[in-house]
Amino acid sequence: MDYSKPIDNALFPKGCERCSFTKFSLFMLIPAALLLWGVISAFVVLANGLGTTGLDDKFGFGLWITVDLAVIALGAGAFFTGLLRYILNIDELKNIVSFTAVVGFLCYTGAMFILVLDIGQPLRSWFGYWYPNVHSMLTEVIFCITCYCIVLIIEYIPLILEQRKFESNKFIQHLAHNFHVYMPLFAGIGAFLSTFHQGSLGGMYGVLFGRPYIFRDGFFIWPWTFFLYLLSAVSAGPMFSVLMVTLMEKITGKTLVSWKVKQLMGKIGGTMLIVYTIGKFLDSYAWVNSVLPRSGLTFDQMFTGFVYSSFWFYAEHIALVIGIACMALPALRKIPAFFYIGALVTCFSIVLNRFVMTVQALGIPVMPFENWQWYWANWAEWGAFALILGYSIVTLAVTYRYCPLFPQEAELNKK
Amino acid sequence: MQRRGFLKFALGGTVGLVASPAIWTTLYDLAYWTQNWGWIPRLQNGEDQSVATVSKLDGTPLKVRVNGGRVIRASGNKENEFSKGGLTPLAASEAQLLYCESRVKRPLKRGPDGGYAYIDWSEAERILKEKTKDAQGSLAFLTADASSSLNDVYSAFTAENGSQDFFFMPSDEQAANHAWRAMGGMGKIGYDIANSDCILSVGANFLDSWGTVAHNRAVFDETHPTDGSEAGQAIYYAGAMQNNTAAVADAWIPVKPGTEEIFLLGILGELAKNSLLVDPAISGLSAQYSPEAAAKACGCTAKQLENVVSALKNASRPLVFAGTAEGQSLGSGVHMLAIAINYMLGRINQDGGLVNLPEQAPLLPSAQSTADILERNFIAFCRQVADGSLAAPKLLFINDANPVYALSPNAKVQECFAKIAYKICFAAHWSETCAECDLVLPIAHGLERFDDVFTPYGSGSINWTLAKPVTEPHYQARPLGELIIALADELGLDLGVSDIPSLLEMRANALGADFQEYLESGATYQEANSAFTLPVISLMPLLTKKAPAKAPEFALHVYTNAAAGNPSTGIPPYANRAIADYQLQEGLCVAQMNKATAEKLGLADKTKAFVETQNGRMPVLVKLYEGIMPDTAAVMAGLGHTEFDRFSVNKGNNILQYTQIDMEAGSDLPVWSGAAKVVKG
Amino acid sequence: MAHFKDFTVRYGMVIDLDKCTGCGACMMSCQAENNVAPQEDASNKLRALNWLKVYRLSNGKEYPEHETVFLPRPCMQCGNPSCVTVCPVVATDKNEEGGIVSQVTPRCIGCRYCMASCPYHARYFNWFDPYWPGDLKEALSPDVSTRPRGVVEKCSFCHHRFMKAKDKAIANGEDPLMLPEEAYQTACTEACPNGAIVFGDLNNPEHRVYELKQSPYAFRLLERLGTDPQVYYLSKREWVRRLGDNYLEQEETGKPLQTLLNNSH
Repeated sequence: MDYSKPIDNALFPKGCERCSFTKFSLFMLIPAALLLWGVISAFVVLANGLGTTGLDDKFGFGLWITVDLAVIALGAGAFFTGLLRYILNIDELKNIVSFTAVVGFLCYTGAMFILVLDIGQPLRSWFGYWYPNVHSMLTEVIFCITCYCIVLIIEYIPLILEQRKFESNKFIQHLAHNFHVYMPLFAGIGAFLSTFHQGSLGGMYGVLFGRPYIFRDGFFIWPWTFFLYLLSAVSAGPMFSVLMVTLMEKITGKTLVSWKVKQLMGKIGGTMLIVYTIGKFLDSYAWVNSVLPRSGLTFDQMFTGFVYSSFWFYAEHIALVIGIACMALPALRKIPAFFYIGALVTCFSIVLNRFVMTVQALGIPVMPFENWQWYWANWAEWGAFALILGYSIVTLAVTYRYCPLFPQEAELNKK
Repeated sequence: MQRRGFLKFALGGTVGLVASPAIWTTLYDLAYWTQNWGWIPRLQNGEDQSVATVSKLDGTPLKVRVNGGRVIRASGNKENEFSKGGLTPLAASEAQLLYCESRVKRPLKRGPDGGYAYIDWSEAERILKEKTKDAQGSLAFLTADASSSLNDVYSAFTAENGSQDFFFMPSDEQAANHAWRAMGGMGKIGYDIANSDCILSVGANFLDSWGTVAHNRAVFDETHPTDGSEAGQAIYYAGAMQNNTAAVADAWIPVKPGTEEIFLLGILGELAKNSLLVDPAISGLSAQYSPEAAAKACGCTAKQLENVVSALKNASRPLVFAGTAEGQSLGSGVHMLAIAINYMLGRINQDGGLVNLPEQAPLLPSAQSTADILERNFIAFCRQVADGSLAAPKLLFINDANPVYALSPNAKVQECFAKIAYKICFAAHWSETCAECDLVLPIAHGLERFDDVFTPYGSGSINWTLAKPVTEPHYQARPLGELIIALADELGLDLGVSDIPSLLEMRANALGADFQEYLESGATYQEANSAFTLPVISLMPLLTKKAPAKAPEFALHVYTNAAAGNPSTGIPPYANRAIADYQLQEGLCVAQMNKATAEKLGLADKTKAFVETQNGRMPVLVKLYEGIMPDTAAVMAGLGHTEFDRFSVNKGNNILQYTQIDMEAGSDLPVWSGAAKVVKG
Repeated sequence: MAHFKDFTVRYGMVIDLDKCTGCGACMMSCQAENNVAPQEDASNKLRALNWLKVYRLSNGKEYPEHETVFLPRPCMQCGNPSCVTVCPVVATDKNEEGGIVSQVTPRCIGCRYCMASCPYHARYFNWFDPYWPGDLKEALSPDVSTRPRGVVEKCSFCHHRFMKAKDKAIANGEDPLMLPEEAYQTACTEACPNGAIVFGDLNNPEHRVYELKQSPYAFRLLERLGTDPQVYYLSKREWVRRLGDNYLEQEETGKPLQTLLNNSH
């Protein structure tokens, strides 16, 4: 035994170095704290009811739905990279596709967990299958998300099977091989499912004709909103994956994915962003000039105070333009600072979009004699967020430590 | 196992499982069980009954649904001609009040440490007898319900015990009765709202909580057809705030609290102009205030005042009356002026005017007449006992009243109580007053007893509705009437009646009504007004009145929410939702004021502040509302309970403990003063 | 937009706001009739469960030009309900003759999508388990199931009374779809001492609502969103009618919906 190496070094991916087990364990205290907070709040919510959250009859949707929608958009890197890698055969992406799958897996399982907390009767959650309403966008979302979650699990499994421990096991070797062979099929299914639920998530809001802030009709609900949400996800998803890789690089002090691959991801995301931005601007134009006046409302009536100010409306749009500049213009994209700023503002714009579509849409008085209402998520709601954050950190850290998450890692970090 | 074998097994198993009912039955069962949770109450079903009675809370005729012996809910009685089936929010709470946690369940006796212990009824009866015997000639009796014929039993019992100290809680009725009698009225003052075509109400929220509410509102419904055709009755509401009545009135005339007399004087003066009825009292009075001067003092415009006068003059059956929020009073002056105005308009004893409801002789030989009881003044009594100018009674009976909560410190209730050797509270609900008494006895709730509602204040005719038990008394409650008759028997006193149903039958006979018929139908007996004798109204007493005091610079308008119970019930379980966010918010009473007022005081919307009176400082939350006069703040009464149950406590403060009560010069009647300040929190 | 079937019987209300004094009798009766659990503290109005809620409206002017009106808001039982299509589990539907939007609480999973969709805030969530302290359970009506926490509920136009009325009509050999007006009335309608609420079949010329809804003073809340509410309001006051919907400055109140739509294009 080599005492100079970490105690668990036999489990590390081939040619990769990891910190000592003690250091790793100490690091794990951070997610452990998050998990503890999360478990306590989840228990309180499940035991006593949703009255323990900051939600109310006006804000039936709040932080949780915002987080769900945001992470599902940000986790879109998984299906999109998979699609590009396995169906369109962009070989370069093999170096990041596993990672995007894990990020996607975490985003989707996290969203599913929050949904379980968020619905008032979690034990009835399967009613979505048992008594489905085919007219509801949410039914489509429930079907697609749960199915896609299974796809993500399937995409995650080979990574575990490739663990060094299983090297000698022939059956597992074969199984892993077979997974790889069939991966294009799953990637295809995943892309299919994701296209639908990303679109339906937008549709979920767009169909709410009682809420002029988010309502879209005619051409602007189908196909516009549908593709708008899809595009927002495929722009932000790859960029979010790159940001996550970079964050892991900062934490581990290693290069995990080559700059070239990152650039490619940025280029892909940036291209999608151009299409999304055009669509979004047109959508906003149509909203201001058609939906609002038909509802007897003006643009100014949609905004108030700081949290609900039109500043955020403009910020959401301007961020997209900055994102395009940084990502789609090769000259800027090649400069790391611009590249990362571009990725950040794009993700910011998408998350902000999900927030205003969820919270602001409900805060606006629709009946003229109502008042604006404000909503603040309380500790229990943030706790659930902390829980999925902690869970993601643990999963990513363990996967990274023991599984070949980054095929380029060994080569890029050769001494 | 071979591969083929395994595949066969797997395929066969799958087909078998899908085809068998096992999965589906399990899922159906799961679906079923996830739809039922053991801790959610199951419904019980039994035989349905509908029992007609009347709400003892506000006189609303009821049909009570009883299912399997359980009282389910109170609805209006559609067959009742008096209310036409309407239900007030308070009467709607009857069933919940019957079962709520604040019910006094067993007799309670206060120990030397101040704590209460359950005792059984035989012990309670022993104490009751002993204390009453000891207090011979020194018994005082307070009741909140002035409209019950059972008061004859209580007042007779008090009298038979050698005392005349039988009191009602202070109210508008007391002041109006005083004014009516002083000016030559006989019997009881009546307001024929049903037949009037133009009403001016000064401060009386008569479409919400004042007078015979259910009846008033049935009249409103009838005179205001939904189909948009012309209303048969014009309504003018004068008061500090656009309240429930003002919301549907033809006009709201802002009148600052404390200036009601001036407003009425302005009306009187305007009416006296070019009037043929020249009375020295009127001319003397009307000289005091020109419409302009009166309007200026009240906060309205001269135009508004003149408009009201011309509406009254042009109407064929106008009616003018004054009033306050429940359990408060403005003294007799406003009522005298209102009577004078009706007199000027020729509306005394006319259809749709002020009517002289003939005095009904007491049913029992030693009982006191309602008018006499009304002349007795509980606040004056308390103050005199407190300051020693009157000997304290040895024993006090309190029926269903909550003076400790409802009366301001100026009434000196606590000091008076301190001097009374023994206090017995007969209560259906555990109140703040119960908590000050030595013995608390559980009495039957309104739906558990025989009782009646006999010509309540605000009536325009002699009317009578019988209350009968829709259920046996719950817990160990007993009907107070029967208890007092039994006690009288024990003490060897003859009240002249053997039980409450016979007493009520006596009432029926006195009215010439068929007891059994009214008992069954729940109908309201109504007597035509034509037989009344015309009183000779004298305006002389007005001359003895001093000129009204100047209005306070800043005034407090204390109002009630009809849904939110009364001092004797606390807040009924469902009423919390009917208390608006402009009445209670963030655990604080809301002080509504208009923007100009708030700006003047340096206050902003939704900020904390204090209402300051001579009786202390009460924290409030400021809310802007433009339906209120300048320099006035409106605060809801009925909050800030410390007793009752979870639905009543921890809700703001009790503004009634901060309001100030002055005594009216001459009559010594209590006047709720609006003088207050609102200062930054 | 989804199309809902045309009902022979379409129950609705006409509420005369010029007659409502805002006393809350309707709210009180509704709770007792429908076994709504009482709330210890209902001062946070965003958590106060009211199938029927009375709003206090203002003409927006300052004293002394200010006017007040009270507006009771039950579920609008929309002809084109925004809530029904969005429910993922068919826990709410508009499918039965009578045109009442149902709410099947045992089916509801509590996702609150319907609440997000309803512009009238007619839908409420059970944030905690219901609790009837002491003996209050005794006063529970045998007609309406109690609801557990975690489900959405709303006004049903006292649907159990409709069922009873229909049963009675069938037993008497009468047509359950041609009920006389008085055979089926909601608890709030019955309670209102001012007679401000009129309830009946909007399609039946013998019911008062049939005529009343055509009054020049009639309006519906947020009509232009296309929800097609079955609750109408009446007011002779222009400002009250104008508060029923959102209007741009230059738009006139009470114009037929189509004119409004055309003008805005």
